[in-house]
Amino acid sequence: MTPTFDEVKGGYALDADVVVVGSGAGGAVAAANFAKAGLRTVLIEAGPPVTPDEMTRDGKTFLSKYYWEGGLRMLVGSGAYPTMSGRCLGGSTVVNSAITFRLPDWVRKEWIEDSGLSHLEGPALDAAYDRMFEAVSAAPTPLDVMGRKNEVCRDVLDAAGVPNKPLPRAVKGCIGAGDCLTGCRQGAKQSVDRSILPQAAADGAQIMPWSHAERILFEDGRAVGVEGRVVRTEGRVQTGRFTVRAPKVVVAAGALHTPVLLQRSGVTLRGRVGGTFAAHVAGLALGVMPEPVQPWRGATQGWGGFSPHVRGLKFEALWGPTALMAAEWGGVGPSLYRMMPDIEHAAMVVLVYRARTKGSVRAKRNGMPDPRLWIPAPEVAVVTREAHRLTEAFLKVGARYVFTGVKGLPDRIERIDQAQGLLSPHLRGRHLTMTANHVFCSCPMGPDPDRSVVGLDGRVHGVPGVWIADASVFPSPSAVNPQMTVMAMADMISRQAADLPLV
Amino acid sequence: MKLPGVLQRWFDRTWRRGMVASAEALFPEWPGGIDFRQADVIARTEAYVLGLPPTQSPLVQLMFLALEILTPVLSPIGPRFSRRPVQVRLRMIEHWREGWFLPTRLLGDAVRATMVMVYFSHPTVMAVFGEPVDGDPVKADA
Repeated sequence: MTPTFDEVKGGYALDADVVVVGSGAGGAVAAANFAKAGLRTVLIEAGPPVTPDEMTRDGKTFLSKYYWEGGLRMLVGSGAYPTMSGRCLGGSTVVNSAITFRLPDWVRKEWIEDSGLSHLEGPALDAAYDRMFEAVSAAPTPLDVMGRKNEVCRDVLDAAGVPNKPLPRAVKGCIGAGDCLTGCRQGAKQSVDRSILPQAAADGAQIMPWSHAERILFEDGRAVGVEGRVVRTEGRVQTGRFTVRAPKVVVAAGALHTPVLLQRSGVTLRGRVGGTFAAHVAGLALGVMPEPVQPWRGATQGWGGFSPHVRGLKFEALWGPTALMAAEWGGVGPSLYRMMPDIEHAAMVVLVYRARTKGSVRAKRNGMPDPRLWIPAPEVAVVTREAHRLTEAFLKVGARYVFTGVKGLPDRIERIDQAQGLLSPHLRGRHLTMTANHVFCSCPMGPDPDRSVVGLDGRVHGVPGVWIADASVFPSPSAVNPQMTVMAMADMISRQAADLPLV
Repeated sequence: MKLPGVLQRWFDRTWRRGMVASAEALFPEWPGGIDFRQADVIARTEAYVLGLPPTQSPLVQLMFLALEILTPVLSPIGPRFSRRPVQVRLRMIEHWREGWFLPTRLLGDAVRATMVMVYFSHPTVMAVFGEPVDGDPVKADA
């Protein structure tokens, strides 16, 4: 049973066997396993629980309440890119498109051979995936909830020579309302607050929302709990403080907040905590079709495919609230007014690329992460070349014009020769328009304590009592949507820590 | 962020001037267009900015403040942003967004993105292109 704000606002002190920080894909799974093993488990979450009644299609209002930093957090480096993550019970699984993929075999092989994650070679990871896919009811998106926007994506990918199909998603009874990014009011999306946490609570886990962890407590060099503040959603006002004392501390606050919590607790491992960081790089092509598309209808991201030309590059349909989608598209003043009738005809295909980026995450003085990301020019060229491919395909299937968001290009590309600038060798990261929501690698896993932050069992090297169970531990980007790999890795880590069987 | 009394009043007044001047420029009166008054952009932007988390709200206010007081530096011939004609303000933002100088480009993009997000979430504007608002039936084949 989740407490109300009135029940926690004055602060609290709890004793437990394990405290899990963060209720997203990793933390929810970890808490469920510990509770199932009979351990007294406390799960703390900085954000509030969000009910369907509180979900609104008014994007700015939803972002401001239920996303970290009001949805305005930026990755700064080669350019300035928004990076958005959920700040509510269930974390980003409440606000993502629920796409479910296993780690591609070639990435898994790379993690095993290059990063030394030998434990991923056996059946344990597959067993973890099986459990997680079943828990979230993952299945290909049904054709009857596609809407025209996903059909346009199919046609565009066909024209681009990209094999494509319905994307697998964690939904049950989806009606194609297209509101994944602002929470699923219909209750169809199987975010972890719906699919995992109810069982965790039934098994005895205490779920404590509105609780922002500030530091890990240590005694004699060993973690003994977590302390932080209780924060009201409106105005983020502190109303109390909390302490949870437990000999096991599992940090699953995401690739941005996990390193910050460790750094603020004095765990830096000589700069390795947050010293690395990576994100998928993205690009887009928005085509204005002759026929009405009504892009707000149909599954938010129902169709996609992997590039046969570039390994680690994926295409998928996307539309969210127009208020967010139009942040870059269109001009200002009269030219914006003239663009408005085109919105009903718009369809967007985005590309997500496992580029070789460099980055870091450091704690700001206010306790928020300061993420940096640099995208090398050759990787930018891959993105813009594939955006050119999408543009050409959109025009082939009849788009009246295409918008790519790449700075310096025309806002309306009506003929492919107008897209020549996408092939320019002078394009850099600052020219890209993208949102970087897949973030990883800030506390990488590995067998060598001098080159990684956590061992293969998820324990932080040399820091007894602390585990990490989120996308921070990825040694390199996953090349696909990370949710299911985060869940599977967290499942393995928490099962080992709770003495539950892996297979 | 809390400043001493006089400074706080200047800060509040100035960022609001920049915000109002942006709204007037980005969504001007135009035949067939829903202007900033009809979409209630000023009051709704203010509510949005003040409703942001306390780490973000001052940053957005600073953005409008920078727009207002740095305009004579960034675009030297002329007064503050809000004292320039609407058409000039509009052209300035367009020019910054298309330009090569990263700081002004980011400022132009951020101002536009903030205001567009507010503008496009008004029911009257959404009705123009038919996007459903809360409570409307939503179905892929509706």
